[in-house]
Amino acid sequence: MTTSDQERNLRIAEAVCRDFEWEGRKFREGQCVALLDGEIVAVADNPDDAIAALRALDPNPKHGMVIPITPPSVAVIR
Amino acid sequence: MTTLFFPSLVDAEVIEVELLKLDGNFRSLRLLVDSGFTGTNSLVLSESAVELLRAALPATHTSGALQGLKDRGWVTCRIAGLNFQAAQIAIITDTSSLSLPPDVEGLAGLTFLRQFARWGGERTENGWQFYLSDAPELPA
Repeated sequence: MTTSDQERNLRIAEAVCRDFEWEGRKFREGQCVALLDGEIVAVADNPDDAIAALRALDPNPKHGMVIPITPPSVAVIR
Repeated sequence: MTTLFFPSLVDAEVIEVELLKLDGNFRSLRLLVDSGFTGTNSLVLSESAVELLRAALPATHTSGALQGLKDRGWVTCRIAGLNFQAAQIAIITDTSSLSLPPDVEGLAGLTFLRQFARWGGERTENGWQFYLSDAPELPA
């Protein structure tokens, strides 16, 4: 995985969570999207299925990412 | 339906969870219960937990006791006594600033707790205990 692939993954993740859409493909809140090499490779209704689909394509846990479709938020630790 | 009790520390509520390792075994961790830890993330874990990550996700902004942009990833968490196993989002960071009690390796926040039907503290004849339950109501 190249830096540009990683950057594209991040760009897709940001757009999907902001717009619930990427290149005409629509998503709904609660879904999980698996990204690998700058492409959407799986969409699932729960993270376990999205992670399994990603790892089936590439078993290296450092490759790709899985994003939950939720509005951007800040984690608060009080 | 099961309710699982965890003995409280003198000044904190804790739970015991198991995180799935990449070799298929589990690593047990004691986590501080912090319902004031809110957002989409379930756990805060120390940097030693990076070996437990199953997939990445974008870093997140944090405020409060932890501040700034923090790495995070997916871990698989199990509580065998509750027949619970699910992927969780964990913030991976230096936890030294949290002043965690000895043998406590991270935080379990509100998003984690709300995956159960009930959770809370209860004074028993054995002292205070924290509970997680998949039963919708307390037994009569």
